Amino acid sequence: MISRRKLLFNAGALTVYFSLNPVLAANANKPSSLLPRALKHNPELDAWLSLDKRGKVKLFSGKVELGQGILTAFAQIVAEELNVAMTRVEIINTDTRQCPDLGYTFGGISIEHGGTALQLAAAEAKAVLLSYGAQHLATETSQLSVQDGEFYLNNQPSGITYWQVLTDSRFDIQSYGRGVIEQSREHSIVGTSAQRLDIPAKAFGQAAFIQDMRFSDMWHARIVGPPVPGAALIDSNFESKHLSAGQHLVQDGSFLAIVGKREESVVRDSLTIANNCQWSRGSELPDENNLVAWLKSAADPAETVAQAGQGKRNSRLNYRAQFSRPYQAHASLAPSMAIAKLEGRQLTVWSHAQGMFPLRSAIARLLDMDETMVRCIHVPSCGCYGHNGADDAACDAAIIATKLPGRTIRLQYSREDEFLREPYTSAMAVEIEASVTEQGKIQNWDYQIWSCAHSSRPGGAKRAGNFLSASRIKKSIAKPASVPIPQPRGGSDRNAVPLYTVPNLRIRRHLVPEMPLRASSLRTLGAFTNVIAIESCIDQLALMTAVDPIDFRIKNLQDQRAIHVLERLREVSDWRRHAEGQGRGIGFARYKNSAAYCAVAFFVRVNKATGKITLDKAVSVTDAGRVINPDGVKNQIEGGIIQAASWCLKERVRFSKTQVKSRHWGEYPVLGFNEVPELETHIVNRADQPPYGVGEVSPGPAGAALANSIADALGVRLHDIPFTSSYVLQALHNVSEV
Amino acid sequence: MAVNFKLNGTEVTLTIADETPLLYALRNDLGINSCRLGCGLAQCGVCTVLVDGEPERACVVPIKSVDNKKVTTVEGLGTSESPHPVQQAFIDEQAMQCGYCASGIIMTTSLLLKNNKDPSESEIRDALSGHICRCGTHTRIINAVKKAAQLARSTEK
Ligand code: FES
Ligand code: FES
Repeated sequence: MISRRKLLFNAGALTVYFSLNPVLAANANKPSSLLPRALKHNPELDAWLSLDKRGKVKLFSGKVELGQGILTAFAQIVAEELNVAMTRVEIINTDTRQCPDLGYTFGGISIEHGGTALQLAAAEAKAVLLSYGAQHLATETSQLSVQDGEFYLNNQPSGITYWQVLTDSRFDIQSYGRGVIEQSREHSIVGTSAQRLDIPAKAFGQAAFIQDMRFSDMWHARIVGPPVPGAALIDSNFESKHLSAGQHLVQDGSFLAIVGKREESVVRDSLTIANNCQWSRGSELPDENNLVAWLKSAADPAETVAQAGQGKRNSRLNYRAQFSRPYQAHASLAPSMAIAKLEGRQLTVWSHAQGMFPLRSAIARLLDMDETMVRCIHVPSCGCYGHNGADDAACDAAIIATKLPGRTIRLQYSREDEFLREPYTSAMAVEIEASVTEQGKIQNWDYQIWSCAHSSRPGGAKRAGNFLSASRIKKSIAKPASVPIPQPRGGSDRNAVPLYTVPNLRIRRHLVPEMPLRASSLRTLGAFTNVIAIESCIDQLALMTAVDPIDFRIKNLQDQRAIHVLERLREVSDWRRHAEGQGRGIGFARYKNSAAYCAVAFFVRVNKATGKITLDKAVSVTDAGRVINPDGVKNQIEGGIIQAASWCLKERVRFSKTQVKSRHWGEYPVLGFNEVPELETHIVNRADQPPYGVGEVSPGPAGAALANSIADALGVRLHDIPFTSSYVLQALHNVSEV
Repeated sequence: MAVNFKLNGTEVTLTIADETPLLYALRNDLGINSCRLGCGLAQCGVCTVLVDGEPERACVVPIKSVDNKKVTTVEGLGTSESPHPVQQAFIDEQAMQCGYCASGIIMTTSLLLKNNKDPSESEIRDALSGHICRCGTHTRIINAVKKAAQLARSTEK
């Protein structure tokens, strides 16, 4: 029955009711202004979905699989809206020739934006198919329902399917918002932990990653880069004796690559050439042991990003502290790679970068090509967690391919290349000064950040200069100036504004414009450090007023969903009954102050003689609105908690004045199987709320909970990441001296 | 020099440079997918395979050293029609985010369960301590190993 009110879509506060009246729908001859941007920019329904004669539905994905299970969630959405079995959905990875342009897959917004648009497109496709079905069966759409793509007439199978009524498989129609999403109906696929579609191939050793693509005319390539950022090639007079027979050296300015048929010979020659290259000195790096001082000295004047109240009020209960994070690496498990081929004037690039359309524009600009002559196709690799070496590998493969037309070039970075070339997350310093009333209400909050920009993606033609090789080739393009990401998303200042009620507040940001070490986006950008600083401060204020940390937070919050996750966490985490000798700590944030809510409780033990921190357990509660795939959501939240623990305890890019020393896992250790905590992950499913991405919600709260649990166990607060055992010992020593 | 060895039960012969890392031979000459490059330095465990039943890091094993030996990769454990208990458990427990670490971990786990039918949590953690998972899927992987042990025991009975 269609008499129910239908929800067209529900995006945040915007809820649109739409009656399923075919006349009304037919009159909607221009796109609804309420359509999500992704649909408005890609209005052709065929850009999103098509039917395939074999009884399949093709889903052209504008978002890419990064190990977060997004494509499975997308397949669930389409199967649900179209009433087909999930096995009928066939996913086409982002390909600039056939998929909608949804920009980058980042910021944990794929479900919020891409998923909502896709859901509407699928609902619209169903509306169109229903009208064809009704024509075919000479009935009204109101008499029809669908099961696994077959029309049911008054609940009886009609023998007629989608694939019979849409004869040429294309919709050939623009998206106007005819679709109807029945928000209230029972979901059978969305909201279930459907099996991830990509996992079996990975368990059986089938081709599953870009690494597994092979072409009969494929040649292997390795690059030879400078050991120091900013260095140029001085002596490029290579003798052929350094190259094995049949091997090519590709050179363009300071860009060097070795290309050949056998991968092992290419590796060997690239090492030999590297040993015979002379590079200029390059840029001087800051003192890795004094990063805060460097950030403050190199920063632009402050910009105020948020302000409220009349200015500071006097209070006896003040807290003041400084926190810092060093440069940290994405350190993706697989060094980046890409495949590229120039055929005639057409360049095709296969890449695991996060945005195929931005990549296409940037490569076209760098190589001075017409954008229509460049095609970028996404093929998954390992998790990237942000802007790692993937874009640069794609750029480098493209440069090489244009020098060796007609050859398929497979460029593979070495482990060392990846560590040296990837942009790190910027070092960051935060100063916080806050006060609280005797009654435990936050009164003043003054907060300052020093950091390089958190995004320097080579996305789009204007930012092609952000490719590492852009400054190395002869027709070089200068690196564009650093631009901070504005609020409310924010870069260094992401989540810098506390969700707590603060009458007098000022948040300032100091941009460090230069980048002696290249910096760009790593999962959560500045939110990780900001949430740790804010939540550490909150714990100290709670301590000063002798209020339980959870009570203190609830007392200073107004948002009911925030309060709910904290209360749930108290119930499920055994907050009041932690073991003897164990430190406990809590961390909470609403990601970007506008997406999912997450609260984490960490339980740790610290050995005061050795400084060793043992992670016993982390319990989390997350409210991400409507959940498409609960198990997938848990998986990402858990990953975020473990990665955050690794950032907190172990990670720091090491460098001297002249070079980066973190070139392999020995110089950049991460949390291992012997160190990870037990996890307990709870989800608050709110089927009536819009879905939020969860890729980035847990690291901030987890890092904060960990910092607070260490402070609880030690009786001393640590401020500078990473919290290594020597730092613990030094902090204990410092208090005993006082 | 020609090298002869058994790859997942099938005799193969290769004539390539002696020092070629087994990893490149498996991938580029023998069509193996599961054994992938992570570090090339024996640090991450991604490329772990079994050579005569012992775990080896294929990125640093020269091809000549497997002459006349047996090499097993994930492809040799089981298939989608008849999965090895470890493969089944990794699928059931969704013990992957990106899954790039999975092949090596599956190989190490298959060996662990051969020697220890009912490993404790700390034995599992120790056995996997040479593997890096950057996505933070560790706890699921540990659960999958426990599940695999259960599956293996129940199919034996
Ligand atoms: S690739 Fe062999 S151990 Fe890392
Ligand atoms: S699942 Fe991505 S590295 Fe383990």
